[in-house]
Amino acid sequence: MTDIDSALDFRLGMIRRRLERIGNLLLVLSGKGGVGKSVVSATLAAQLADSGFRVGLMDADIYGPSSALLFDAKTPPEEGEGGLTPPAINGVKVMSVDLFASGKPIPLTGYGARQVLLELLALTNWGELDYLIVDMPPATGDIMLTLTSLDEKGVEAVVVTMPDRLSTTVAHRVLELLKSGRVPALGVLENMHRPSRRAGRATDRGPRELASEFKVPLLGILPYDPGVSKAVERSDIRALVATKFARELRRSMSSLFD
Amino acid sequence: MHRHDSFSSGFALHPVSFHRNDYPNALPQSRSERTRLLHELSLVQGIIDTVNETADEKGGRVQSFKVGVGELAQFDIRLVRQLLNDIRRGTPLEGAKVTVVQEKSRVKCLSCGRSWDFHDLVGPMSTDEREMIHFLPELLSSCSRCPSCSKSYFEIEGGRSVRVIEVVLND
Repeated sequence: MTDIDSALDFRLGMIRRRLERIGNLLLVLSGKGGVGKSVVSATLAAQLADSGFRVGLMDADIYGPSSALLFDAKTPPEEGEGGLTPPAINGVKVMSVDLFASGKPIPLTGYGARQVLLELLALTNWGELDYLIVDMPPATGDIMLTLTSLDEKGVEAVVVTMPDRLSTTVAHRVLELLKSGRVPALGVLENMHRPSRRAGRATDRGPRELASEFKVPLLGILPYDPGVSKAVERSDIRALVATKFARELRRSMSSLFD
Repeated sequence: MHRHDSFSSGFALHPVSFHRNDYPNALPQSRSERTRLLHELSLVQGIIDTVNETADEKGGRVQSFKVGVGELAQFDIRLVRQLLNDIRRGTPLEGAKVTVVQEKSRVKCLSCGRSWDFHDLVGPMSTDEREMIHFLPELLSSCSRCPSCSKSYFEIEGGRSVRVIEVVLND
């Protein structure tokens, strides 16, 4: 007689069954806050949906969710027999803890944040998807460890960094963890690039050197674009997709659109 | 005792479909109550599928399993019991003994160290807030403060939601 003790978390089974219906799970991470992960995630999700792919966007930034705001998602998930169906906006199914918390503060321990993430992943009925884009929180804590431990096929990561040393140093740690956790990194995206007056400044070389060190491509250099802030201020995903930043992102991530 | 931490792929599923019309007497009329039924259906289905998968993976037959129903998520234990009995019908779990127990919720304030019953915190909550923690129990800290020190720095010590406490297989 075998006794399977309380470590049997049935949510992990639910999550695995849901992820079996998802072609690609793409983690967008950086380690550092404020480098543009959420904007990259939202823009990429909208562009993939525009190209005819079935796309979901999971806001895994449990403490500081912003995906719902970027898509102006206010409708709560719809309850059904298969779980919670997220609201679809511009063809993207958006799930975020903020659809429940509605702007309230979310004070959680790391353990608590993991529980919220597992609950959302277990309950969300994405249906069949080509891509699930996951907007990751800053830091290499419980959320990153949980998502990079799912051990699912089709999980890949994109590391977003600003050109400066503060960002690339943290991104370096993230790439180390991805490597040791055997999560394939598609590459590095440099964001908020401003042309340097002095060509060849050390800070401008950071992302390229980072990519080179980990033998992954520098996927692209995304410009600092004031149009992004304007679109975000208005929660206007169409305006966001129309920016110069978005065009460069589309070019940088072209392999996803093939 | 065998500790089971994760699931590997490659074993058969035994999904069983259900419809809320199967529960005409249990289907509440208000949106909030209907929501709860659908949520409980989804979770109980998840329990049945996962326990079946685990038994397949281990190559055994489930002799008994025990489910805990935490107070915090405010599930109706009678409904959970009814759903467990109905949904496992026709699956390898049909002949297993199932025990469903209510688990008392305890919330500890990590700031002052006091522990509280869920009932001490839920009183002032609105219906929407109760619904929020029905789905995501940890969001208790978004709408409650410690009655002793007023901080929102909580740890749920037990009784958060529905869980599988134990599965016993015949090898």
